[in-house]
This record gives sequence, structure tokens and C-alpha cells, in this order.
Amino acid sequence: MGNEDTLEDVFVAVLRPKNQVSLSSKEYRAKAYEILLKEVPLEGKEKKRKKVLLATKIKAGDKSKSILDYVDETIKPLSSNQSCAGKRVVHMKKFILEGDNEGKEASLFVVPVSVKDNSKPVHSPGSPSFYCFHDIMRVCSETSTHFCSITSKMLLALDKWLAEQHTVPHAIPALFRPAPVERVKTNVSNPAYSSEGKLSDEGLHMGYTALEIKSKMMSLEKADMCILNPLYGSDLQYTNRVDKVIINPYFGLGAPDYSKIQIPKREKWQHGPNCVTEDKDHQWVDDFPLHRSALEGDTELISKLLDSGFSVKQLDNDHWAPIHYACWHGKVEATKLLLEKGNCNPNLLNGQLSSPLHFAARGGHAEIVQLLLQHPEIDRHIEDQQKRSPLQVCEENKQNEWEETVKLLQQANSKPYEKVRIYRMDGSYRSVELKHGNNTTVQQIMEGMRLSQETQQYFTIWICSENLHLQLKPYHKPLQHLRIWTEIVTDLTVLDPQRETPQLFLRRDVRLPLEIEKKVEDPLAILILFDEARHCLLKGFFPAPDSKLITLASLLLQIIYGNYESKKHKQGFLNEENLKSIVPISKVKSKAYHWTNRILHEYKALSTSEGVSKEMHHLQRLFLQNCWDIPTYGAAFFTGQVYTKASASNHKVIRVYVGVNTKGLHLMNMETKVLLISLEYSTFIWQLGHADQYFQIHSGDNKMNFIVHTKQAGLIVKLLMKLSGQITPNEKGVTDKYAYG
Amino acid sequence: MFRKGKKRHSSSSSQSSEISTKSKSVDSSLGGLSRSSTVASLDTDSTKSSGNNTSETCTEFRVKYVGAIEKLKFDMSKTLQEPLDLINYIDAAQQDGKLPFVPGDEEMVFVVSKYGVKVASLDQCNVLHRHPLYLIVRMLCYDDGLGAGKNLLALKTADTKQEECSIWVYQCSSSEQAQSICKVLSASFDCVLTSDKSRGSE
Repeated sequence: MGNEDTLEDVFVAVLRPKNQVSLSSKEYRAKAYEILLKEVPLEGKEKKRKKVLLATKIKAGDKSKSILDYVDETIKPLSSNQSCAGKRVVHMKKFILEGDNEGKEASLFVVPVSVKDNSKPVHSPGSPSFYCFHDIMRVCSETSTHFCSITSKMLLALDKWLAEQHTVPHAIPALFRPAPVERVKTNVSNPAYSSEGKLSDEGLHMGYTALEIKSKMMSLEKADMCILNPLYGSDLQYTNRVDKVIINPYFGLGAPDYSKIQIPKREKWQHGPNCVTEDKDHQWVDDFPLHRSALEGDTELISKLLDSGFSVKQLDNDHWAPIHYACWHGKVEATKLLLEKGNCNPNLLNGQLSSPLHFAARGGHAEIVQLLLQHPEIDRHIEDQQKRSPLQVCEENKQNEWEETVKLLQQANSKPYEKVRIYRMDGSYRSVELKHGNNTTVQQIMEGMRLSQETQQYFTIWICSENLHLQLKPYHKPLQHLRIWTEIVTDLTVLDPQRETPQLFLRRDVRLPLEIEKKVEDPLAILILFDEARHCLLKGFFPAPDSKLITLASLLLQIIYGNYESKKHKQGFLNEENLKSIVPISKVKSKAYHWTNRILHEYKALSTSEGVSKEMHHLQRLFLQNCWDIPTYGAAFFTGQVYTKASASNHKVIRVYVGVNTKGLHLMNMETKVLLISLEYSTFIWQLGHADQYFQIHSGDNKMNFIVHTKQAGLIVKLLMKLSGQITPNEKGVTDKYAYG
Repeated sequence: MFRKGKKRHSSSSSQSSEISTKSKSVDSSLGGLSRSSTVASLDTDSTKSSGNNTSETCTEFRVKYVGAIEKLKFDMSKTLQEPLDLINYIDAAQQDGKLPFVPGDEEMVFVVSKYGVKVASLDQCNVLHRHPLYLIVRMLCYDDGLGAGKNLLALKTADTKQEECSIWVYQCSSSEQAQSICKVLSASFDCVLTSDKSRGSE
């Protein structure tokens, strides 16, 4: 037994149902089955016998056939009926043998046979016979002496297995269903595979070999290649989870400026599309760290980058600033940091003219929208390129917390506007609503000043700090100038920008011709003009002969103190304090004391003169009248330096005010306020120097030729051109960054 | 019972006779099971014409899908060369729970043409299986033996490299339909040869 390795020990349980009905029963009853067992004599005790399962040795190979053959052989003598043959072989389980074959394994096969027939069993001694499975199981236990131990073990397992099979629908009927040979109906085989099975006549089918047929069939095949989805039918749960969404950042921003779009160079796109975008991404990260950290909301890095001087205004290649990334991607803290620490303009537009508020509203980032709306300079009425409001954009896109965002945007509309103070030269101010936040223009502010249509045209908004005064154009946005004043100061002067605090003023428009001013009758307009003229006078910007200054001083006394009263207005009345309010500051200490008599005299004369109306605006107009012939009246003052030859060897630097008005160009010594040069238009020509750092004046009539060095040279020359009539008002300089519309 | 697809035939009678000439009817004994001829009809009353499938037509049937045993190694496929082995194998797989005894409720469209077999959802939007003709090794029609008289259709296919084989089992709505499918497939096999032959002789 041991030396024939190719043989395998198998045990066979031949089972048959007692009747057909039991097959459809869902409940397992051992009573319904019979099992084929053999009786063998018990060793030692010849009279006693024990029952064993059929066992045989089969060769490797077609096990089923060998087993079926064995079963057929065994059963044949028991029944005259042919149908008793085994239907199939079902492998049930492997068992470990005991005793002599300890450690070896043997398989138990179940061979179902047909239902018990009524023919009388042929009994032949020594041959196996069918026993009621129920009866067998009643006496079967592992220690039972009625059975061989392996047999009882197997019978117990079989009992359990049958019970299990009963719980599976169709399993029992299938187990006892007819053998395949009884069920096969049609077989269609592909002649291309005729090598399978037996060859037909001479191996040819209709005159073709299998190979030929196959190639013909293949040539019919429509697909050259068939790739099956390996996951198809794998029952993986289908979910519509999105791994990544890429939104076109330009979507909804309207038609791009095609002139700015460049087709990348051949070398770039030849790397393949992925390569280019990767390169671009990497480069973007390197080139625009602040943009990147804003996109990621990395506040720590943003803070560090701001400290190291990265500009919140810088636009990347897509013409976006960092705040646009923060708002687009809903990074609240990053937005906050950029606004607060970076002092970013909340209305900063990207290259496609979209604002941070549009981006935040579009994404439904309610918290950012809230943050932006709370910003004092926010323009809540801002529109994008397609004239859409943030509210519209929000409702069109319905992203994230859009409902909340819509609510915030609607609520914002009912909130009062922030206001800005517009000062007059007398120190008073009017608060004007900033309907468009820092996008509010000079024109809009002027409308908010509540001046009459007539008065409005004489004035405009100036932005002034200690040493720099700039007149703004109607379309300028003064609050944005305030915001970047430091840069402007640095750009136009050599002063310390920290000491220059800007404010907005309502002042005379430098372009206002004297002929028009002379016709002004509106008391308010006169008052404002007077205030400014007085301010200029006291600051020393009206260099004039002493007699003129005395007359102006007496006029001021009349205006301030009313009619002359001899008791009140004695000589001591004009102390330094009072003098300061009527004569130029430069004269208060040096000359004014000698003038007091003359001033009071003229004051007295004025008060008593019957021909002079004491109506306030008449007096003020009288004051103005006296100012009009002062060369520097109504001038815009710039600062600069002139180098003169004090002696043959050394140069002297004179700091000067450059006044430009409708009359011409005037140079004043900054310290002494002495008028150095005054040239009327048509008596001189000017030329702008290199890099707008100086301008040259040449006056043939006066045999004069000098250079003024100033960073404001560009502004001065432009104003000269405008006021001299060389530029018509319609010709707007494209590069007019700051002033003088 | 089944619908015919795009029909573009001038003479259906000649074509159906074409099928019958190529289909050998054999008796029901096992030994008579034809292996070389394409069709072995055991069902004598399946006289309905299944044909009309010239190279341009396809025929549609409604079947239910039982299951498949895919990618059996070539060694295994060798032991499945005989039709009865195939049935035995499927039976055993069912008994082991590897293959269901009965199909799901959903009906499929089983399309047979000279390009092979396509199984699709009823709306034909989802193609479940496609068996190119040259990869179909054998089609077997047999009774499932569960007593209800249901006929199963077993399709054995090879892979393109001839390394593996797969078994696909469908349930037919009737014995007639099963027979028809077999006939149409058989005709498809022959059609490839005849159509090509005529072309070759031109």
C-alpha cells in the first residue's frame, strides 16, 4: 500500500434518497436517505462485524471517473436497475487517518445515486448494502463499536454536511439531479478549436484546417484589441465622490484681453502638457511665495513674507494679487492678515477687474465677505467687468454658504457709509459719505460736498501733507492716494514720508482763470477763496511789497474785528499773537512791528470809509481783489533746488518753491519766502530733464537760464504746459499718476 | 421568442436551408454527440427557423445570466474538453457555491452574429459580455436538472493568448430558444467559412 505513491486512498459515501419527495424538502431528515455500507468482520472476534464506508484506491488523474467506475462496479450486483449508477462525485472533506496510516489524509467523496426503486434488492453476502441513514446515525458515535472509527467520524461529518446542504436552496435537488449525460441537449463547437476533442475526418472542416478557420474568424473581428475593465462586475460600490475639481479661474470673467495672451515658446510646450503646467506651477511657487501662501492660508508664512517686504499689491502672471487667492480659496485668516498687516486695498482689482469681494461672494465664503464688508474702505457697490455686483455673482454660483453670504451682502446695503473729512483752509471740515469706499472719486466727493453747481467748478480736492500738496483729477480716488501717500512722498520728494500726514482739502482749482474768479459772486465761494488766500498770505506764499501787505492786514482786521474802535484798537492791540493772524509769518518778527501804525491807520480809514461795503463777502472779495495782482496768487507750489554760483569756487544750493499758476512760473526762496524769479508765459521756455529729475528754464528776454532740480519736475512741466495753453483740456496725459487734471 | 436584428436578407428560405445542410442531426445517444460538426441537435421539435443570419444580420434572444467562472488555467481547460466534463465542472462549481444554481431576475439581450456573442442589458446600453467568435470554443445547451425543465447555455471561451479559458452560463427561457441560439451560433461559424470562400473564388 505504501509503496505505490500514485494511488490515493478515498472513501466513498454512496447516498440515495428513499423517495423523490424528500429532495424538495427544506428540512433535513436523515430518515430520507440511505447510505451504502460494507460489513467487515471485527478483528479477533469473528462473529462480530462492523460497518465501514466504501473505500478504494484511485490513480491520480480523472478522479471522478475512477470513483464512478468503482461505485458502478460495487452497486451493479445490488440492483437489476441500470439507473442505479452514480450521478456525480462531490468532494466533501479531507480526513486525517489514524492507526497504520497515521498522518495521512484521505478524502471523502459523496456519490449520489438515484432514488430507491421498488425492485427487490439482491442480497449477496459480503457485498455492501444500503442502510437507512437515520438508523445508522442513531448508533453512530466516535467510540461506537459498530463502526470503524474513521467511518463513524466521516458519517458524523456527512450528517452535518447534508444538513448544511439542505439550507442552501437548490443544493439537494442539484446533488441528486441526473448525470450530465442525461441532461445534455446540444453541443456547438467551434471548428477553429477542433483540436479539442477528437479530430474530424482528416482534421479538416469544410476543407479548412482549424488554424485557417481561426484566422478567418479573427479577420472578422472588429476590434484589434480588447481591454476589459478589471473592476467591471467586481461589485465595488460606485460612489460619485469627486477626487479633484479644477475650476477655470477665469470662468465668468468675460473675454480675456487677447493682446496679452502669448503662445508659449515651442521649447516650453514641446515638453508635453503636464510638464509645462508643472514647470509653471513650480515657477509660480518660487516667484510668488506670498500668492502661494495666501492660496494655502499659511498665515505664519504670510506674516513672515510681509515682514520681509513682499508687496500685497504684486500681481502674478495671471494678474492676481495674493488677496485674490485668499478670497478665491476661502482663506479667512490669510485675508485678514493681508488686509490688516499687509494693509492691502480691499478693493484691489485683479487683471480681469474682479475684486476680492467678488471672489469671496462667488465662492460663498461668508466669513470673508463679512470681513471685507467691515473694512472701512470697502466699495460695496463694486462691479466687475460685466457690471455684476458681488451679490449677483454669489447668486449665480451658489457655492458653499452662499445663502449666508447673500444675506450679508444685502444687510451691508442698509448700513451707513464710512465718511471722510474734507477740510477747508480755515480748518473747518465737512464729512462726506464714501459711497464707494476707497473707490470713491474726486468727482463723487465733490458732489457730496453740497456746493452749488456754480461754486463747485472753482474748487477741487487736494491732497496735502506738510510739504507736499497735490491737486487731484476728477477721476482720481483720493482715499487710495491717502493709502499710498508714503510712496507718493518718496516718489516726489526727499522728505521722510513718516512725517507727512496727508489730509484732503477743498481748494481752489489751480486752473481757474482769474477772469472767471473775478466774476464770482457767490458768498460761499468767495469765503472759501478768501480763506485759502488768507492762508497763503499768512504762510508767506504771497510775496508782495510792504504796502500791499499792510493793506491786506488792515482788511483782515476789518474782517476779523469789525469796525475800528479807537478805544479797543490801540497800538498795543497788535501784539505778536494778533499780528500772526494778519501778516505773513515771515514778517511778524522782522518788519511787522514797524507796520502797526500804518496797519491801524488803514484799518481806521477802511472802517470809516463810506464807499466800502461792510458786508462780509464784500470785504472778503475786496481782500481777494488785492491778492489777484500778486504774482503767485492761485499757484500750485512745488519744491526744488537751484544751484547758484555764490563765488567762482563754490556752489550754493538754494531750496526753492516753484509756483505755477495761470500767469506763469515763480521761484521763491523757501526760507525767506522772497520771490526770486517770476516769469510770465511766453517770456520763457522750459525743458524737462533726464528721468524727470530736473527742468531747465530759458528766458531770452531776461537773459536767464537756470535749472531746477526736483523729483516733481515732471508734474511741474506738465502743469506749465497745461496752464500756458499748450495742452488743451481734452488731452489727458495717460501717465498722470497724481495730479492736475 | 426572439427578435431578429437588422434583417437584410433577400431569400430567407435559402439561408435557412443553408443552415440545415450544415447542421447534422444526430441521435440522442452520447456517442452520437457530434464533436466535429457544428450542431448536434437533440431536440427534434426545434424546427423553427432560427436562421436568416447572413453575415450582416444578428439575432437577439432574451436570456438570464447565471454566472461565470473566469480565467481558468489552461491545464484545467484541458480537462474540460469533453462537453460532459464541462457540465460536470459547472455542476460541481454550483455545489461548491462558486456559481449560483439559478440566475438573477434581470433579463439580458443575447445577440448572436458572425462577430460572436454579445450580452447586453435590455436597452442595449450596457454591454455585459462580448465573446468574439474566434474565442468561442464551445456552446452547450443542457437541462439544469433541478426539475423545472430550465435549459442552461454554457459558453466556453478562450483568451486571446490561448492560456486561459472561461465558462459563462446563461439560462434560456425555453428549450426551443436554447436550440435556436445553438443553431444561430453554428450558422455563424459556418457563415464565416462560406462567405469567405465565395469571396476568395471571385
